[in-house]
Amino acid sequence: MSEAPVLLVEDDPADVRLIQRAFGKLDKNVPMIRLTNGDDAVAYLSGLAPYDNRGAYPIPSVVLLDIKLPRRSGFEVLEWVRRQQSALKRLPIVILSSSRHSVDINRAFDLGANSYLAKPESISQLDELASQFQAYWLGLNEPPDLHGEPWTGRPPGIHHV
Amino acid sequence: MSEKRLATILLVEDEASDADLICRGFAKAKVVNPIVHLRNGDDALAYLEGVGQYADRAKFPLPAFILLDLKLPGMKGLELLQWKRTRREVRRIPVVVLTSDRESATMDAAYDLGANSYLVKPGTRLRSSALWKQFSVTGLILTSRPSLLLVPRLNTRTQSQVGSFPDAGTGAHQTSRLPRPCRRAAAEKDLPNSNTLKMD
Repeated sequence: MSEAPVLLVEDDPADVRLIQRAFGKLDKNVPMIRLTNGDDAVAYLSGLAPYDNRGAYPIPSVVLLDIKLPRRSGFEVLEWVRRQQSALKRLPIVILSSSRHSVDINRAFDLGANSYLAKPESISQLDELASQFQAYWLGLNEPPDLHGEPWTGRPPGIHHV
Repeated sequence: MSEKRLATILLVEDEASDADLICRGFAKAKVVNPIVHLRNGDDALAYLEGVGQYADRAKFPLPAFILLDLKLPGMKGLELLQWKRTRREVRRIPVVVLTSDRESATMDAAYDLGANSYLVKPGTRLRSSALWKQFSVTGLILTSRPSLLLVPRLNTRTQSQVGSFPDAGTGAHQTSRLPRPCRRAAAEKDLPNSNTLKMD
């Protein structure tokens, strides 16, 4: 089975080009699927047509999600994912936005974003971001099981008296 | 506003040797933020709640993020996560779980309870070097381009003091000596800006 891709949801073609170029420079190839709006992201994650072939459109390992998107915003996508009853709800989502406003940052964390990265202003910073993103979110971080049952009970090993 | 204070990192870890390695890892990664080290879940809850000996938010500011062991004396890490998400004022503080527990049930429970990230401590064999490396990376992603990782602000009166991570390249904070030791909050009378503490 091939490696789960990173799902990039970004509408700005110039940003996409820069992000893909930065990830392309990494030693290890990071498969990336790119979508341009929030509705497509939800359709993809739901496995709805035209994304109904999980072989071609697998569940991503991490989502890199812009906030300002056409149709459904990044916040709405995030909210939708966390509302799911399936294990999909624990999908790691990293916001990548040009907004540094605390109202956006707070909202993202309140809605359950795993991390919030500001879009860099230089190529070298973007290269560094890509390399650190890969090292952390595709390496160091232990990913959740996205295919299993959602956890509903008490934390394992904990007994309330 | 007067001088911005560096955001605090809260480390909840009962193993002294692990805590020491973690702090050294952060220091190696040039993380200059104050690290408050608590050794059990009950203390962490009291700290986040701002009660008891931690009632003074000026001395014990809410952390920018929490590094949480799961196996703790008293309240367990997962219970702390469960409690934390019911508290509006601390709910959005990001939590990085750091544990030796590789059970997928535990991992999934941690994510479902709102953990932002889950890291597994390396085994004992290569412990020191591997953990050190892990934390260099963790530290790097958190601080080498601090302006790129943004942490939520907290709706408390001390908000402006908590601040965000300062720019790594500039600023007076960079002049402070590295490595910086962890502070054990319970043992310290005066936590913030205690640059005078010596290593170990």
